[in-house]
Amino acid sequence: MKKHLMDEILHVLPVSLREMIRAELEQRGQGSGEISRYGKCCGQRRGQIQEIRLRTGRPIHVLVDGREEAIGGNRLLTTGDMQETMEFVSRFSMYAYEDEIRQGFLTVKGGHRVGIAGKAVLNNGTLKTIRNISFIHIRIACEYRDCAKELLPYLYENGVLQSTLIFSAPGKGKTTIMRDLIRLISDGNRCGEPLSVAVIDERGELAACDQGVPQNDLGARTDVMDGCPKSAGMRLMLRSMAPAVLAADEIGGEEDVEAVFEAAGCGCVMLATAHGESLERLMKKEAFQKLKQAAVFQRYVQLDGGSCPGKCKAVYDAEGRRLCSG
Amino acid sequence: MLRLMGIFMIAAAVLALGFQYSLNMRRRIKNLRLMQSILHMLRGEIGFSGRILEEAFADISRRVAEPFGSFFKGVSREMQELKGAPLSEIWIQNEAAFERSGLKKEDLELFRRLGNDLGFLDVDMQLCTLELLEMQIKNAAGRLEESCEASCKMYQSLGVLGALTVIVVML
Repeated sequence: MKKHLMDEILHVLPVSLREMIRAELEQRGQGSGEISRYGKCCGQRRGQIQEIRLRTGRPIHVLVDGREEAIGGNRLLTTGDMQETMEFVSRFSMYAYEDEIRQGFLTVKGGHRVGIAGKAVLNNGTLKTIRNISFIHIRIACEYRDCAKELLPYLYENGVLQSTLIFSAPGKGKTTIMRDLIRLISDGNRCGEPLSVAVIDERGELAACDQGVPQNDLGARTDVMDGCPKSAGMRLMLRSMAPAVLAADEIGGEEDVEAVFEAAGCGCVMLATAHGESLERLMKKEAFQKLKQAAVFQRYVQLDGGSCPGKCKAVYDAEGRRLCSG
Repeated sequence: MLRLMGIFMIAAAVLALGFQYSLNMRRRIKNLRLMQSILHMLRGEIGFSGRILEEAFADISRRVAEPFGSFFKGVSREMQELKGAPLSEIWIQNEAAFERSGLKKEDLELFRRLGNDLGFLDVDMQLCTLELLEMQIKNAAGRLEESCEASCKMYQSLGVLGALTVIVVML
């Protein structure tokens, strides 16, 4: 499952910018020919581009090790560059991404997330769409095989996988570790037998499906519902696929939490991620308080993040007791 | 003898020209009707399945007859490659597929509007564009069908008359 990371990224950029970005990626060892998107350890990401940030009237910026660097000299981005980028990002089909645009991001082939901002168009106080898109951030998705391996012993109890919630601040590697965890659980690992996993990939970042076929390796026993809202997807997968494990990225809404309760009630092991800097802050949210009180999750994994996806800061049990520190 | 053969060949060519015109007209109507059903399919692909254009075009290319099959296959392939050309340009580049379709310049210009207008704004906008275009093509095909029988007869008769005239004059 080798990927052409450079092609995936370059193809969503305006033609006039492609060479510049290609040179930059090559210089950082991210674009040489058939380079795989797989990394072996977190250190490999140091010095590499994590995001490409386009802003009208400004030079291109790349995010490296948490810092923004301007590239391309005096070349300032124009409105035309932004329009062209959006045309390629949406694959000439802006209409097909209405919901995603309302949420402020789209996911392109390869699972790369494209965040957008511009002029908000409101209808009765709710966001209808975003027009005059002038700010585009392309977050480069990377698969890090085995980055979740060290976590596994803490997630199993007597060979039984425990429902787990992974949390951290945005951009700290929740999706990366979740993706690897799904693969390890689905294929089986030293801590437990292989299990069937149903993934609800609302934003397409976990599996990066292309015409329904996952481009990322999520394991041999994984079924993916692509682009479906989490709550509806969880209920649907429970009924139709009878999975042993249900995985969903970035839960948080009331509906998501209700669906998690439903899944847990069916005896399904839950894997989920959520935004939250610390367990205390996470528990300030009513939805997660309810989940904790009902002991839906037996493990809470806090990520340290930074440039080391998979580096865990702490693992807590259902009562909030710290089981390990990173 | 050589002269007779020459006269016969010219007369045959004039006769064939008349029948060719008639055939082209029937082909044009057939392709306009096909165009209309493609727009209908596209409405389903966009409105019901919510597919992106390159996927919808690839699917349609497998379901429709030539020349539209190869046209949409080419457009879809180039869209996937994302070489940097806008859809309107990709559309025009693939219009070579219509060379022997009987479709006239005005038909192709009407169809080209798809390449210019599709993709932007929301699903409702796409459906409105497709509906409007479908109606225009339906009207154009309807008008042609009304005059088809008479026109075809006229082209064929002109071919026969032309051939006879050539024979009379040259003999």
